[in-house]
Amino acid sequence: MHALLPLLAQDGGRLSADQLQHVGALLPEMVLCLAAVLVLVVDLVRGKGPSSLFAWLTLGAIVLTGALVLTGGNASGIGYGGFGAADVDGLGRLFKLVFLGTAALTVLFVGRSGERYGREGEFHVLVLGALAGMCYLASATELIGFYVAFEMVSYTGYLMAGYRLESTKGAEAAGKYVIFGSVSSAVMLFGITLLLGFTGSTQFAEIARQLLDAPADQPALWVGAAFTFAGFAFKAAAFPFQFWCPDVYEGAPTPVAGFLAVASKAAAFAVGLRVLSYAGDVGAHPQLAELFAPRAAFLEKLLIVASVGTMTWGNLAALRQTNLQRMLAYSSIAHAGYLLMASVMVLHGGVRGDALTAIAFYFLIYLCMNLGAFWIVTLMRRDLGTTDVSALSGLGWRQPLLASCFVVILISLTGLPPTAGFVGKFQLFAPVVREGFYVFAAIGLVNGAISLFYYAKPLREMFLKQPTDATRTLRLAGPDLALVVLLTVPLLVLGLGGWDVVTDAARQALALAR
Amino acid sequence: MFLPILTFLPLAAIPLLLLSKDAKAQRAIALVTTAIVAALSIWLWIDFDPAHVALGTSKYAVDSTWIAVGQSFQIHFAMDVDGLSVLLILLTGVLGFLAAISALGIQKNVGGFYAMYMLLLTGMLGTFVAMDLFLFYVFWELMLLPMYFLIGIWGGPKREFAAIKFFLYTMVGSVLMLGAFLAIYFKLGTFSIPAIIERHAEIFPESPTLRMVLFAALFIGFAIKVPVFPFHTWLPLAHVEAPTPISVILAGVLLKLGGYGLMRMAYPWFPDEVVRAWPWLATLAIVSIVYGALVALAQTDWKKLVAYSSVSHMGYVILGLSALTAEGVNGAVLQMFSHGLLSGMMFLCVGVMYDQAHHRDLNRFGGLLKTLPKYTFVAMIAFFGSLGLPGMSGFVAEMMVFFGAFKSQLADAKMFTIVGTLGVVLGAVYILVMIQKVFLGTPREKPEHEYHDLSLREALALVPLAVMTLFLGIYPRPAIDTIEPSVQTFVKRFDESIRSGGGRDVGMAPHAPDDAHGTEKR
Repeated sequence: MHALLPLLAQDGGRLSADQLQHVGALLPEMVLCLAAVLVLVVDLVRGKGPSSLFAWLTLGAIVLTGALVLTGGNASGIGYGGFGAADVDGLGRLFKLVFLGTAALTVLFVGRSGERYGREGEFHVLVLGALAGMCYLASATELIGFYVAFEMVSYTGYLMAGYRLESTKGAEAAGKYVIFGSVSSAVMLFGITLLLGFTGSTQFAEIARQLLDAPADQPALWVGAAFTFAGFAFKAAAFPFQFWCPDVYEGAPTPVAGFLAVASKAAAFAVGLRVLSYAGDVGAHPQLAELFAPRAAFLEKLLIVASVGTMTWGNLAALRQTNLQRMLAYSSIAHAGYLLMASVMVLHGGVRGDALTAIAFYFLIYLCMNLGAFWIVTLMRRDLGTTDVSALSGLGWRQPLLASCFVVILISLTGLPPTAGFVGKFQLFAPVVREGFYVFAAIGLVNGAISLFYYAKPLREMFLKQPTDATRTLRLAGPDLALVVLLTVPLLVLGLGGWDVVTDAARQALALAR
Repeated sequence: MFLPILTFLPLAAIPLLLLSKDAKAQRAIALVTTAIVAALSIWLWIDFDPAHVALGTSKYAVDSTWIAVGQSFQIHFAMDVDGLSVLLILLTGVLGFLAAISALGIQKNVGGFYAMYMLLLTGMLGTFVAMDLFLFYVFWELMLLPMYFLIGIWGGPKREFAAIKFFLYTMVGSVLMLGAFLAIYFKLGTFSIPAIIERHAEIFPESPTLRMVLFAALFIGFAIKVPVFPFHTWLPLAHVEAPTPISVILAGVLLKLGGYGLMRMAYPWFPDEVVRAWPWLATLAIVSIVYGALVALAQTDWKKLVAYSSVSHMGYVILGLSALTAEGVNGAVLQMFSHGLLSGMMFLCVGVMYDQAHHRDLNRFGGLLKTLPKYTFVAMIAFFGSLGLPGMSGFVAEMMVFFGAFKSQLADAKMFTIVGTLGVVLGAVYILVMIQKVFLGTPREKPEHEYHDLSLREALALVPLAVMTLFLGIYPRPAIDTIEPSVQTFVKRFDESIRSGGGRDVGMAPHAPDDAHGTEKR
């Protein structure tokens, strides 16, 4: 079996300097945990009163971690005594950068959102804790470590979602998130137990192999897999486990909603893609391919249903929304659907490199456009006191630069050229078409057209309505606008050209040069 | 570098427009830019050698790698023209300038208007010259956003709904196109339009169904733009609500993009499918012609009447194109050009009255012949030209379409043609009824202010169009000479398909022109 699975190349229980060095590959996670503790201590020592000190500490930790992720090497089979628990590879490192970028922006947003987050320090502890969990998730190759990290992300998420203290919606959001989240965690844990019991292994690779190899009279194994999948689907807000998402995103503080929509989702995809890669590896093995084909086909169908359901439900439900924050929640569900679509292609050896690259590229783009949108909504809540789309009425004529940036962001979310959103979607759909899933691709493309209807709503309010005396403007300070522009410029630049450079860089990072 | 300069010139004017705060300066910048574009497009038309029909090899051809992602994507910045695109660029350049003159009357946010207008112009020109599908698609979609704002901000009372309906319809069409483009790309490994035309037989020769689906996706994508019944429902609303200069561009140029796309891509890529789908295509064309005319007949809103006449007139384009004879296709292209001139004129004429009367109700005008003789004279040219009166461009084009369709060897071509001529009769009815209501008789209500005859600005926009339509009606050679060789090449591609009845007799895989590629796939 070990020969079959090169990613699990660990022989014997050697505990050596070599092994310790491997543990050093998890330095980024350790830095984040230490920074969380540091912030907590500083918060206790320093006493009451908000301060930007915590934000700077957090940002510093994030930058340091980012540097470590960038400069650190790859390592596989990190663990103890030949018991590989984590791999640090290109895929994981790319995702870690997405988490870190999202977290850094979230910290900046929170600092300028004008809302109070209890004792300032504790919020930043949660961000750092969530980050540590996410970063480990992107590397985990084994169920126990995975589950611990998964819960770390979940608990911090529950707490962060409840920070709109003045509003009952905040409490409702956090409450819903906790209840649905813990049920799904329980279901997932049950699934993990089944998997562990039937396969005798906690390694993803070994489980994937046994799943695809399982005799037909062992449905319990598949039940276990399905239950575990439900956990991922819940985190990624994928159909049919998406129902919690709009309420939570609407009730959560806007920057937190952005954080959950990008980083949490990316974390779920990071693990999901790793598992799918193992399944694809097994399926791609020449001697075993035939044996595994029907299992892989079943998995594929399951994912296709989830993908189509996710994007269609998200888009159709978003059509009626007039609250921007809630609309963005539905839109983020739809985007999870597009990403799932490309994830299915990870099972197909011929386009796996393309699909993984496309997903990584899309998350980079998605970070810019989705956080850009959530940032503008944060500003709306701060200065206009509402996130209703009608509050933007006539704004385009009063604040043209901000409104133009928002237009670019929305067009990019729709996936129209000449923005990076188009390029990203183009790359997501390409492997699907290439493998001949024409109907699947057509459904995705038509979904893109549907999404235009609700993304155009802010356009209409901002530019098609004339400003009146009732038109209120945002009190934009320099940094506020700078953040908007910072997130918009890459969308235009990458949309016009140069995306080949970024794509190639991502592909090289994934070490999947074809 | 001529084509990229022509395409991106309007784009370069946008920063200037946004930087200058003075409406007068903005108008001047817009006029100068569009005048240069018009001059360049005329020069291209004069300079271009129509005998050169091989796409991608003319002296104007540009081709460099734009984006290269490993082995996954090879995207080229490729531009070139043939007779067809030269004529349509001429139309775009001229109408772009004249509509910009007519837009001088716009008072609301002049800089923003012209900035959007320039973006639209770049999109249209780029679509006509792009030889790479990715580039084509970028230009194609680039037109949507400015059009949305131009209708939505500067349009009539129902502008918001009209704008989003236009946006959604076109986007549904274009995503279908994108899907087909991708499927073809992964089969042939190229985005190059000329290369795909040459290697069309390699597009899924093993699956006639899939080929038909791809053809249908492309056809619907372009048919929405044309628009062909039943995909036309966005058009009346958008045309009516758009401000006059934008109606001119919409009817004059944007609709032609649909016809251009069919002629450049959908038809030559799927010749067998066109032959097999002929009864359906002809039926859609006939229904568009007759239905458009009948609905136009029922209108009391003057602008809506003109809008529905577009549905009817673009039906001729589909009929001529699908007949696959040299006369028919020549007629179709000429009809596109002629309709561009005539519909532009008609919308300008309606705009002249709307600006003064602030309504477009046919039943409230009357007797304009006596009060506004100069205006009536120009309007008569527009409406009689549209009716297909001999001596004007519409007549030549429609006759050629009918001759070509009648001559066609495709099944039941004669029957379809005869039914199609019904459109000419109906066209005469709605135009004559309208002329009678508006221009003849006595004024039915007294206007608040006396109507003034053509102003200099209005005359400047209308007279060149009138001259062109009369000239082409009497002496259509210059236009036909430009397109004839390209049309011949286009038609020749279908010889084999027509002979074999759409490939049904020769098995699934039609004969490939280049056997080296064809055999390996089979």
